[in-house]
Amino acid sequence: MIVLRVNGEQRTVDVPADMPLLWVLRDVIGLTGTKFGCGIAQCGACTVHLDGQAVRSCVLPVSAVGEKAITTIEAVGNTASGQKIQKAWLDVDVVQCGYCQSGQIMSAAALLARAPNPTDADIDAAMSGNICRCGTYVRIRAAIKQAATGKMEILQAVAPEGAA
Amino acid sequence: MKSKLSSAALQAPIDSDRRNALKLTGLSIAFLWGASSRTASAAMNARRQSSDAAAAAADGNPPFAPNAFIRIDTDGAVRLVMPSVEMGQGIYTGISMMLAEELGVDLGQVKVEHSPPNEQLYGNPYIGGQITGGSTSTRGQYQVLREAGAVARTLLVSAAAERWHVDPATCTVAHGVVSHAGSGRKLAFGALAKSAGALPVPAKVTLKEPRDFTIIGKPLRRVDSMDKTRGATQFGIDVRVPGMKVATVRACPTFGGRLVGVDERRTRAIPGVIDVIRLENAVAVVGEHFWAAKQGLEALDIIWDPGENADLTTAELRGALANALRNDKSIVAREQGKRPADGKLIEAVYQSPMLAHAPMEPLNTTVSVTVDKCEIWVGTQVPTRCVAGAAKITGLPPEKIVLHNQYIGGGFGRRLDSDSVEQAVKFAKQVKYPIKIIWTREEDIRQDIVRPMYHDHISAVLDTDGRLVWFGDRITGGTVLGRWAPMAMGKNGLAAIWSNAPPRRRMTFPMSKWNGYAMICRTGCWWGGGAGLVRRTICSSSKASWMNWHIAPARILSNIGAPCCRKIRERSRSSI
Repeated sequence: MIVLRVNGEQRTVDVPADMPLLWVLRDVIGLTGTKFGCGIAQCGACTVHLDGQAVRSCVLPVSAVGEKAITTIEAVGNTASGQKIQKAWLDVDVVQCGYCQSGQIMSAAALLARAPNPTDADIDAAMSGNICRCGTYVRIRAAIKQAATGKMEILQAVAPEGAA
Repeated sequence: MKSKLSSAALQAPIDSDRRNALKLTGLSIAFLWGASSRTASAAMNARRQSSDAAAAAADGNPPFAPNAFIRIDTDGAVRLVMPSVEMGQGIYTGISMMLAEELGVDLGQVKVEHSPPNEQLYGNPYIGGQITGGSTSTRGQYQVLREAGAVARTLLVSAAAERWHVDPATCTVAHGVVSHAGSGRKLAFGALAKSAGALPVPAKVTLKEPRDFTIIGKPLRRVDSMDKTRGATQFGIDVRVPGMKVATVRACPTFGGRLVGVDERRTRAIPGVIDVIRLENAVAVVGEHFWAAKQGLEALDIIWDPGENADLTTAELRGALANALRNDKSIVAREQGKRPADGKLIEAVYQSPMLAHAPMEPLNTTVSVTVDKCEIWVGTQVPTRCVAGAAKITGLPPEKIVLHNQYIGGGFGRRLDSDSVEQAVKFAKQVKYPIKIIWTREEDIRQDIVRPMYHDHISAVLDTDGRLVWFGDRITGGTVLGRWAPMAMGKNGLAAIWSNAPPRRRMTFPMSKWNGYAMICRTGCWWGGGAGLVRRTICSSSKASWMNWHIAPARILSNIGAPCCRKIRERSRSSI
C-alpha cells in the first residue's frame, strides 16, 4: 500500500512500486485530466506538480513521490499561479484539440510560481518540453506573459454571454 | 439584442447535379477522398427525417427536437448535436455559432453533444458522408445548420404567438427568450418547448441577414476552452466503463506479416496482467491498468512471420518512384502550351518522406462485445465506417453497434481510418469484459497509415527579367484514394485531388508503377497539403522569389512539423 497526497486529499493505493505516477492517477485514482502522450518524458502531456515543481509523471515511479504534495490539472486552479494561468488561457483562447494543454498549463503554472515575471528565455526553458501538435505555441507564450503582467498580449476571446 | 429577420427567401434546394459538383469540388482540396458513400442518401436536413424520432428518443426524448441538431428541454436547457467531430479545428464552436445565431440563444447557453453515427441525419452534404475532414465542415453545413436554427426559432415564436394571440411577426427572439414588444410579455424557450414541439415543422423559414449577426463573425471564446483548460474534457482515452480492463497491442512490424507464436510465461507472472489475446497479425496484453498491460507486452516473446515485405526498405521505395518518373508513361493532368526554348530553365527534384500523423492522443478504443450488442467508445472522424467495420467483425446488425464518439486529441487524417477500431473489436470479441485498448506511442508511430512519399520533379523557365514564363511539375507517388475511396479515382488512374494547386502550364503524374507500392504501404490521408504540396508551396510563395523557389518547400514542411523534404538534384538546364 502506498499513501499519496493528491490535490489535498490522502489516497491509499495498492499498486506496484515501479508503476509511474501517471497510471496511478489515471487508471487507479481516476483523475484523467493528466494525459499520456509518449511514456518517455518527451512530450510533457503528463506534467503534474510535486510540491509545486513540474515533473513528468509518466516516468516517475509512484514509490519516489513520498510525502510530496501532488497537484494535477484538476486542482491547479486552487493555486495563485494556476488560477492566473487558466484565466489567461481562456482570455486568449489557447486551446485547440486540448490534449496537451493540461501539461502546458501545469508547466506554465510552475514557471509563474517561481518566476512571476518570466523572460522569453525563462518561458523557452520552462516550456520547451511540452509539445503541441496543433501548434498553439504563439498563444501559449502570449498567455503566460498576460498571466504575469495582466497586460493584454493578443486578440482576446470574448467570453460568451450566459457562460458560467 | 433584437432578432431582425430579413424577408429573403431561402436558397433553392440544391439539385443533385449541383450536389455532385460540390462533392467533386470537395475532392479537390487538401487531403482526401471520398466517394465511398456517394450511394448513401447522406444529406443532412434542417427538417425532420425518417430516423429523427429514434435519434431524439435515444437522446432522452426532449419535448422540443425539431430536427437532428437541436434539443430543448422544459428547464430551458439547449443541447446542440454536432454533426462533425471536434479535434482541435474548432468546429464545435463554429457549428454552435451557426445554430445559436439563427435560434436566438447565446453561445454560453448551449451544451454541445457528440452526434451518434447516422448518415441520414449527420452526413455532410458536401462530401456525402458522416466524415469530418478535408476542411469541409463549415462550408458543407453552413446553410443547413443556419436553417435548422431558423426552423426551431420559427416554431418557438409560433408557439408564443399562439399563446398570446398575437402576430408572430411582432415577436422577437434573443438570449433564449421570445418577447412581444407591444405587451412586454416574455416566455423563455423552456416554457415553450412542449407547445413548440407539437407544431408542424414549417416548409419555409427566413434566415437572418448577415448584417444582423450577433454571434457569427465575433471573436467568441471556443465552447470547449473551459473544460480543456481544467482537464475536464473527456477524450476517447479517458473513457472508463464499469468492469473495464486496459490493454495494449503490438501488431506485426512488417506490411502483410503475421503472428506465428507467443511465449507468454514471463508476462503471466507480472502482477495485474489478466489475459494475452491474439489476432492473425497482432497480440494484446490485458491488465488491471495500462502499466500492467505495457509491462506484460514487453515481457512477451513474440515470433513473427514478416512475410514478403520483410526486406522492403525506404531506399527501395524511393528508387521505385524515381524509376517510375523516368520510365513510366505519364498521366497528363493539365498541359497548356509547350515549354519555351528560350529563357533560363531551372529544375529540381524533391522527395517528401512518408510521415506518421502522430496525433498527441495515441490511438485508442474502448469496446464491449456481448452476444447481442457491441458498444464502442472512440474519437473518430468516420463513425459510420467504424460501425460498418464492427458489424462485419461481430456479425451483429449495424443497429446493434452503439458508437459513442469522443473529443479527439488530434486527428490530422489518422482518425479517418478505422483500422485501430476494427482491431479493438476483434480483440474485444474474445473476452467477457469491456476492454480499453491504448496503443503505445511507439505502436502509434509504427502502425500509422502514413502520409505517402512523393518524388516531385519541378521545372521553371524564367525570361531575361527573371519572370516566370513556364512551370512544369511531374509528381510520382501514391494516393490515399486508391485504398480509401477507389471510386473517387479517375478512370486513367489520376486522382482528382492530385491537381490541388494553382493551375500551371504543365503537370504530369507518372504514377502507374507506384501504385503497387502504395498498396503495400497502406497510403494514408494527407496532412499539411496533398500530393502537390511542394508545387503548391512554390506557387504560393511570392512571385518575386522564383529564383529562391527551392527554399520554400523545406520551409513550409518544417513549419508544419514535418522533416524537410530532400532536394536531391538541381541543374541549370536539362530536359524534363
